[in-house]
Amino acid sequence: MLIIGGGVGGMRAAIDVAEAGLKAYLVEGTPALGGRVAQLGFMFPTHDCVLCRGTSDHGYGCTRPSISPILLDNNLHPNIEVLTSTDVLACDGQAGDFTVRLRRQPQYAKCINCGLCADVCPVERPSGFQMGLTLRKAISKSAPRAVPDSYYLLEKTEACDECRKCVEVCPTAAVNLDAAVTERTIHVGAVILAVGYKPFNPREMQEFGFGRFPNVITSMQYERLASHSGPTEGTVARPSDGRPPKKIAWLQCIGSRDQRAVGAAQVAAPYCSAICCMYATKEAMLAKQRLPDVEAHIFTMDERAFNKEYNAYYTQARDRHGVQYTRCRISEIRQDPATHDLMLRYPSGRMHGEAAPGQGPIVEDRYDMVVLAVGVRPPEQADLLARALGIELNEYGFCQTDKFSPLETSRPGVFVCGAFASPKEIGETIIDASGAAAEAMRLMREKLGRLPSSRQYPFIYGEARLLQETGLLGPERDVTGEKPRVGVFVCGCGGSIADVVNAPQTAAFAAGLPDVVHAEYLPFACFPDGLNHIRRATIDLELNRVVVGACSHRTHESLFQRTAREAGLNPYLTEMVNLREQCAWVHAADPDGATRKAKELVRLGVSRIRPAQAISKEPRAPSRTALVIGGGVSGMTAALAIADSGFDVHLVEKSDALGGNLHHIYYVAEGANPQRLLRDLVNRIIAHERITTHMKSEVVRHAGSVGAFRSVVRARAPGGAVVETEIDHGATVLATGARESSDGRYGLGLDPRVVRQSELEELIAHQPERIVAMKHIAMIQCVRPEGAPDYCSRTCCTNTLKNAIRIKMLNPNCRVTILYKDIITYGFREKFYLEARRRGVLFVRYTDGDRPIVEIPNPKLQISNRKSQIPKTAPQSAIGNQPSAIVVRIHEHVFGQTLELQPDLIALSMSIAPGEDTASLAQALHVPLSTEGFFLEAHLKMRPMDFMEEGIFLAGIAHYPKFIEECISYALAAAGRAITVLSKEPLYIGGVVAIVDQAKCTGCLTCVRSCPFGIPQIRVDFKGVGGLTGAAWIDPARCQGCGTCTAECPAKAIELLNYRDEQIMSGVGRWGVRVEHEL
Amino acid sequence: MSENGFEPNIVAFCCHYCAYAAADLAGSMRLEYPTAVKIVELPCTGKLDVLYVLRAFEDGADGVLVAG
Repeated sequence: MLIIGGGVGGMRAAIDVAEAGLKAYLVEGTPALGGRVAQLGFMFPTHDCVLCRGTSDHGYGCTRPSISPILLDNNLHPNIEVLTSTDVLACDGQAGDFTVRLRRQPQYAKCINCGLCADVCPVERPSGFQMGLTLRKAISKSAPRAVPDSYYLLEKTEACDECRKCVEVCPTAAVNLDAAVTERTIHVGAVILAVGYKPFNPREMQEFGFGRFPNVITSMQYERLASHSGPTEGTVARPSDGRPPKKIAWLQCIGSRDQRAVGAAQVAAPYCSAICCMYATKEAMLAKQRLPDVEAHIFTMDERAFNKEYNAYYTQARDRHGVQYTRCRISEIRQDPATHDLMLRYPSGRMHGEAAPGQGPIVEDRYDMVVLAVGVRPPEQADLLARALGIELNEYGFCQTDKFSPLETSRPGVFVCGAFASPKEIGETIIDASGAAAEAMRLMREKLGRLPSSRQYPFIYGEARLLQETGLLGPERDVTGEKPRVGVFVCGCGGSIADVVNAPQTAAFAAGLPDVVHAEYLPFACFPDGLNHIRRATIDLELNRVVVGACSHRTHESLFQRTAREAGLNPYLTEMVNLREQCAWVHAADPDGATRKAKELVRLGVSRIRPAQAISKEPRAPSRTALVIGGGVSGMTAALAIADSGFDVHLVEKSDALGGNLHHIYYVAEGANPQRLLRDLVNRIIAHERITTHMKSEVVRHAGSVGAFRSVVRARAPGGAVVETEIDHGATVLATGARESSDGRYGLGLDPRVVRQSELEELIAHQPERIVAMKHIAMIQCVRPEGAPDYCSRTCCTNTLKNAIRIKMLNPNCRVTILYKDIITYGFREKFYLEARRRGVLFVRYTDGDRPIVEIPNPKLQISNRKSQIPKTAPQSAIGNQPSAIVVRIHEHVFGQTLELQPDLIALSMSIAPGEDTASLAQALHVPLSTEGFFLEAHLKMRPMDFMEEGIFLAGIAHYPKFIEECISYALAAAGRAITVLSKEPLYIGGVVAIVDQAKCTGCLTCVRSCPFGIPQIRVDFKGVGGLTGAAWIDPARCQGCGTCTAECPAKAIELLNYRDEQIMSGVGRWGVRVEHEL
Repeated sequence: MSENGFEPNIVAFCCHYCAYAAADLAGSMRLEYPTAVKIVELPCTGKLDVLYVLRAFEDGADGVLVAG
């Protein structure tokens, strides 16, 4: 498998592919992984900090097994080969058998990240990572925590004048200026493109003064200023004078939704970039939180807060943090040359979210700083890559995909994910990435699980078998009962540590600590020589505990754990002491203090490892069957992807027909035929030998844990009989969908001329002659039932435009008026907005405080959306009695006048609400719900298809309203994640988990209540303290290892393995006494 | 170190996922702080037992920092 692009999407795809036991080449053009996400300071709407570049060992939001564990230097997934500074030259062959030619820039493999080369380098260049806000040396590292974490050279011709100072100073002789570019050919079965996007360069639009006015910056530059790893360490300051800004403006749609051809290439970007509304809101909110008394002002056309929790985020920014939103597009920026302040002119009175009294006069305002919210452009290498791979690009230069196969390019076997297909945010990129991985897995089903390697203990699956094949891992030595024999290895890291800390002296100190039988200094512990030395010493000296004083255990622990394991030692009998990041590097000015601290840290490590015990993981043969709940487009797509990959699937559908909401979609804006998609999916499901369908069935019970779930499916047989079936399965996909809500808003249900948007679609599809006879159709957007949470249903605007365009095609003389709050046509869907306007559809905006009023003539009843005034009994139908007109009144805010419309038909875009059984299913599966009532995933951005509970995955509009193509991507993503579980043989469970000593447990429920994941339970089949019935049990397959229960347990009956009180306390107890020594 | 020569001995209990990672980053960025700050890694600050804090004080810590 070849994955091109090492950003967040490419990394996710590589991890999924690797976890499914396939080989992954991760190719990245730049010298480091991380992509655009690595440059962000914080994510919306969670405000998670992105310091770790998306590559730290947990991902985001304290969610243990997440995106990144596999992507660390020295802790790389064995199935992934990372090729940075590498370009793809050509790709021959066909799906399942490609030959790809790669070209790689020289690598400095022995770099230990000490930075001496950059210190002596005389050439400075603008830092790309910091968006040109600072300079960096010609030989440098792209970011503080680059992956691979090493220095590299910009292309020689570009900057380096070959003074060779870097070569002389390098302690490991890693720098080699004469190394040649290498070419390499690899054979892969499938290719995944994850090359992301390029931010628009606003220099091409002179009117904004970017590049001329110092205080006009791009949103990416603002991200760097706000980031803790940025040039100002998170302090936002004006570039012109370093003052903290008091008034900042964000201008939206710079290089998006713009039909003008700009720049040398004269390219227009009429599409919406989909991410800018939210990132600008995030930046403004962060400014409000951190800069005292700052005014934040966003100039936007529509606020496109169309995803889960986004609307709440936007209203929070507006109402709680006081971010000002004005609806207009600023046409130019002027600068006061004396102060470098910036002047903007805009119409007043066009505020967001409030009653709009009408447009006020044009005002001019002064700002300290203006941020240009730049749009998404196709990636730099799009054309070259398209040629090398033979794929087609679309009219905007992004990768061409089809509506119903959103992850497939024009070349079979080449898949695409993320922003290269269309502008996308992180969460959707991750979904695409896992989905593209699933497509690749389907193609390579014969090889699934063939490479059973893991980065974590026990390092390989099916250990016994591989043991024979590789001879790598011998049996583990049982050290129980042995007196601790500790070996301490202090690494000098080629000077990174040893230049500050007196490492040999630290080793000598360690030799005198209790139970230490061997201590020595190694110049490079993590190099092959160092590792071999540790392995040999462990065996020869019969060490049963190993302490390595080197760098952070976050980056290198698994490397040394593996080394210990190769020496026959359980990996949890090793301990790392952080002498680099947390000692030498932060105390360079105080070598004596640093050496003293190093000794103290080593003593802590030794005290901590002495009472350590071996920890083993339990093998579990997973059931190779998946349960898919919901038979709509998402459920069917997921079921097919899993079944095609060679696993059995039980598909449970509540109704008596497969298809779900797809039954009510007759055509789509893009022109494809959804009914054909429905037929195809249903036919393939029915014909598939691995899929068992359970119709008119519901899941009523769901127990067990990953790899070993047991569910009860209740079917309503004809005649009312109820049949219950038990199903064993290894993974579950939740794809139960959602529904168009219904309520008596605006006279719906009172007058047949008021219909839901889906009913209008049915009318257009089945009775176009009625449309032809109409003179005026009004549509009202954003209609939700009384009391329902306020969120954007995402698909309605495009649906409405699709119907409006159809009406105009059928009957160009029919007036179509759309009453809207914000038009949400994100991405390329913007073209339907343009087309509707071109065809003469009228758009009138309303606000929450000033909604349209619909007067239904019979009965004489005025209905607004403010209060429910719907009578219990429906009135007489007006049809056939020459009905009098419906009147719609709306306050038009630009002219400040009330419009009165008399449409023949009103179509309401009703909100999409969670399915009726969502809550009961959430209870049965023990999964949480979001504030909107949809299922709540493990992490909004980084784990959108996972639940906290391993082995259960989410797909489709059960997550949040979505378009068909998005449902398909999502379903594939869930399927891909499920396959990574199903293809493991066996799974290993346990490790660093909490265990209960039942003999001490009083069954007080403290652990049950304090666990953030709801995992402990009191089992009546267990005997607690004094032999009384009932004691706590924590499922090792589900425990997340946070240790909260162990701290809370009043009886001290729970211990977290590897963090037992004895280990922590014995270490902490040493802090008080300083190490006294002579220097 | 203050004028009177007193340097408080500080034990910092850091969550593996955030504060400990931030401390690593501080190293990567070559920021500086006193050597008297020593970091104890925990899997989550939820793991912090009040006994750990008391034990640190008992054994002579002048300050305890919990970061997570």
